[in-house]
Amino acid sequence: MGIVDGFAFLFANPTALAFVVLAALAGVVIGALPGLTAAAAIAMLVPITYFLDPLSALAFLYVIGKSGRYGGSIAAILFNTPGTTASVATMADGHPLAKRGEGIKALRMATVASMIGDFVGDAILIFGAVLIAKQTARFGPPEYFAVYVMAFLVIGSVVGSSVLKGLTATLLGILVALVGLDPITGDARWTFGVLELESGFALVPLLIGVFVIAELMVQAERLALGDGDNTIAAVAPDPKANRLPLPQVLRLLPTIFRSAGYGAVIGIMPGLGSSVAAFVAYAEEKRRAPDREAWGTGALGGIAAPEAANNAVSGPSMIPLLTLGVPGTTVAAILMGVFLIHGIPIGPTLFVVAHDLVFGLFAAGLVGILCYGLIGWHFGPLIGRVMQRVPARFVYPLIFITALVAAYSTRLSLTDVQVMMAAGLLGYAMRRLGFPPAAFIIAFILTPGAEEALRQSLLLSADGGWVFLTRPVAATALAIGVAVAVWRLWSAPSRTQRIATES
Amino acid sequence: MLDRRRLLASTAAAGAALLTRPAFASFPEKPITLVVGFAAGGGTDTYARTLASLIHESLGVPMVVVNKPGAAGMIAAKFVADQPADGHTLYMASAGSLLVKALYDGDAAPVAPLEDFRALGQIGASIPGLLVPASSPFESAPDLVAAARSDLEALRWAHPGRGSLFQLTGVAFLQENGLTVQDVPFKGGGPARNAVAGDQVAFGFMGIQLKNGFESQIRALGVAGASRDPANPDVPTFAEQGLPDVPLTNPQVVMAPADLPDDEAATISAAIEATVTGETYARLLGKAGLSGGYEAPSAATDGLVALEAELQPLVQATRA
Repeated sequence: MGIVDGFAFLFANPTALAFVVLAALAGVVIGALPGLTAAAAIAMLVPITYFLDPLSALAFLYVIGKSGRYGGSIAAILFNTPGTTASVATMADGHPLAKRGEGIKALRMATVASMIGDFVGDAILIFGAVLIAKQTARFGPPEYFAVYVMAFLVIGSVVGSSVLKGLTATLLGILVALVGLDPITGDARWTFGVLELESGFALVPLLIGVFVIAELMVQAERLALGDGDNTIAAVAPDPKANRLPLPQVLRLLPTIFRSAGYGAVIGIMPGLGSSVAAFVAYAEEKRRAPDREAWGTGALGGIAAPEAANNAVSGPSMIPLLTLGVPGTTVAAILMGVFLIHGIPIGPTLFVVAHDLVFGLFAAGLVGILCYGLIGWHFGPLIGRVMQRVPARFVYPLIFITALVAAYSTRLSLTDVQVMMAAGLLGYAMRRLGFPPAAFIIAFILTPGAEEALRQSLLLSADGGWVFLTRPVAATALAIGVAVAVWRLWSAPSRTQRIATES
Repeated sequence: MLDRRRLLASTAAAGAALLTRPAFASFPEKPITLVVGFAAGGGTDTYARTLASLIHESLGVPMVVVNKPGAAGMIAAKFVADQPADGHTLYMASAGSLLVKALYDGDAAPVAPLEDFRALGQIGASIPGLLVPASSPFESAPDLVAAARSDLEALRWAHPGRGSLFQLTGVAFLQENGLTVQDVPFKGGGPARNAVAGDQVAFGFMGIQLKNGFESQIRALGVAGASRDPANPDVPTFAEQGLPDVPLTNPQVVMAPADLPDDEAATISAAIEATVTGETYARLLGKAGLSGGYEAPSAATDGLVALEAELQPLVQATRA
C-alpha cells in the first residue's frame, strides 16, 4: 500500500511533520487575510522551501494550499471580505449568519465541510492517481492538446461574470504567454530584442503582481479613503447559538459529499480551480435545496456546499500535475516548479522514481487536513479577531516586501521584479474594470503547453488535424469540453454568473 | 537553494579562512560564483554543483552556484561577460548549446563565446544518444537507417528543442545517412524522453543519460562521438556499427571573461583539474548517469573551435 509507505516516510521525517503543522497554521492565517489567495501566498513562500528537503518543501506548500482555501472562509464569514477568491461564494450565507451572532456556528460548519471535502479529494488522489498515471504514460501530444482544449472550453464557459470580459482576459493571458521563444522553431517572438524576455514571462512574478500587488493597491486605496473598517460580527452572548447541532450536520452530509464530488471533478480538470468549484457547488446545491429561498440569507447549506467543494479541489488538482505534468491550478503550477527545483521529474514515471516522496506528500496532506481542522474549530474566531486588530498599515507593507523578495529570488532577476510591478498595475486595472484576473492567469498557464501540443501533434500527424479525432482519448476529451461548454451556455451561465456578480 | 548555499558557503568561507589561511596567495580572496545558464536540477546544473561541492578542497575558498536560466544560457553568459575579470565570477558553459545559440543569433548574439571568454577547463561532456521505444522493431542504428530509407513518410523523431545540440546531432546523423525525417521538437530532455517512452515517435536524439531509469521502456541504439560514453559503456557508437561518425558532443566548460589575467586563470584551472581528476567527482556524476573527463584549457578551446566548425554548416542547413 503506497499510502502506508507514505505515512512511514513522513513520520520518519520530523522536520516535514513540523512544517505540516506550521503550514496548517500559516495557511489559515494567510487565507484569513483579505485578498491573499493561497496561490499568491505559496508563490511568496517558494524561496523558503529552497532551505528544505524535498518532502518538507512540497508538504509545506501543499498543506498551505489546503489550509489557505479553508482560512478564506474565516474572513468571508466574519468580515464579509473574501479571504481568497475561493471563499467568495461562502460570504453569501456566512456573513448573514455572523451578523445574527451565529458566526462561530458558521465557522464550524465551514470547518467540517472543508475537512470532509478535502478528505474526499485526497482519497480520490491517493487511490486514483496511480491508476490514471498508468493510462497517461502513453499520452502523446494529440491527447495533451485535447485535454488543454477541454480546459479552455470549460474555463471559458464558467469563469467570470461577463462572457465578453472573461474572453478578453483569457485572450490577454494567451497573448502574454506567447512572448518568448517559439516552442517549435526556437525563434524569438515579441521580445523587442530584450534578452530577458526570450524565456517568456515567469509565472511567479506575474502571479504575485496580479494577485498580491493588485490587492495591496486596492487595500491602500481603501485605507486612504478611510474606508477601512470591516463591521465585525458580534459573537452571540447566548452560547447555544454557537453550537453546531449534529443533526443539522448529518442532514447536510449529502450536500457536502455531492459538493466534494463537484470539487473533485473540477479539480481533476486542468485550469479551473477552487473558486469555480465553489460557485458550481453553490449553484447546484441551491437548486437542489428544499429551503432554497433561505439561501443567501444565512443557510448552513450555503456554507457547506462551497467550502466542501473548494477544498475537494486540492487533492484531485494534483492528479493532472503528477500524472501528465499539466498543472491544474496555480497552486499546482508552483508545486511543479518546486519538484523541478529539487530535481524530481514530473509525469507518469514519478510514481516509480519518487514513490516514497509522492505518498509521503499525500500523507502530509491528510495530516494537514486534521491540523487545520483542529486549529480552525478551536481558534478560528480568535484568529479572525486578531487579524482584525493588527493594523493594516503594518501588515500590508510587510506583504509588499515579501512579494519583492519572492519575485526577485526565483531567478535572481530584477526584470522579474519589474514584471511583477507591471503585472500589479494590470491586475489592479482588471479588477477595477471587472475583467477576471483568474482567467488571465489560467490562460497564461495553459497556453504554452497547449500551443506546444498542438504544433507537435500536427508535426506528428500524417493527415493534419484528423489526428485529434482518430485518437480515442483525444476525441473523448474534446467531446467533453464541447459538451460542457454547450451545456453551460445553454442552461447555467445565468445562475453561476448571478452569484458571481452578487458577491 | 541559492540563499541556503550562499549562507552555508559564507559560513564555510569564514571557517576555511580561519583554519587554512594560505601564506601568500592573494587570489582567490573570497568565494567564487559559478553562474549556470539553466535551471537547477538539469544536466549542466548537476555538473556545476558537483564541481562546486568539491573544489574548495583545492581552491581554499568555496564555490557558489547561481542559476540564471534563460535564452539557452545566453543571459548567464552575458552576465558573466559583464562582470569584472577578477576570477570571482565564472561561467559554467554548456558549450555546445552556447555555440549553437551564438551561431543562430549571428551578429545579434550578446556574446561571442570563443572571443569574450577563455576556457579554464572542461569538466565533462554530455553525449547525444539515439533512443527508441522498447517496443520498436529496430534493434540497431543500421536497422533504423534501413527502415527509414524504405518508409520516410511514416517516421517521426523527437529532440529536446530546435537549436539544441541534440537536434543538430540528429540532423547530422540523418544527413550523413542520406535521410530526411520529420522532427518533432519538445521542450527539454524530459518531455522528449517521455515521447520516446510513450511510443509517440519512432526515435529520438537526446542526452544518453536520459535513458537511465527507463530501461523497460527505452532502448539506446547508439551514441555520437568518437568513443563510447564512459558512464554508459554498453551503448556502441555509430561508427562502431558501420555508420558514419557524428562527432558532436556537448562539452561542459568552466569559462571566465577573456581579460582574466593568466595567474588567476592558472590557479583556478589547477583546482579544477585536481577536482575533476579525483575519484569522488566521477562517482558523484556517475550517480546522475553523467560522465566526467577533464580537458585542460588549451585542449578544451581546441575542442570548441572544432565543434564550432562542425556546427556551422548544420546551423546553416536547419535555418532555412
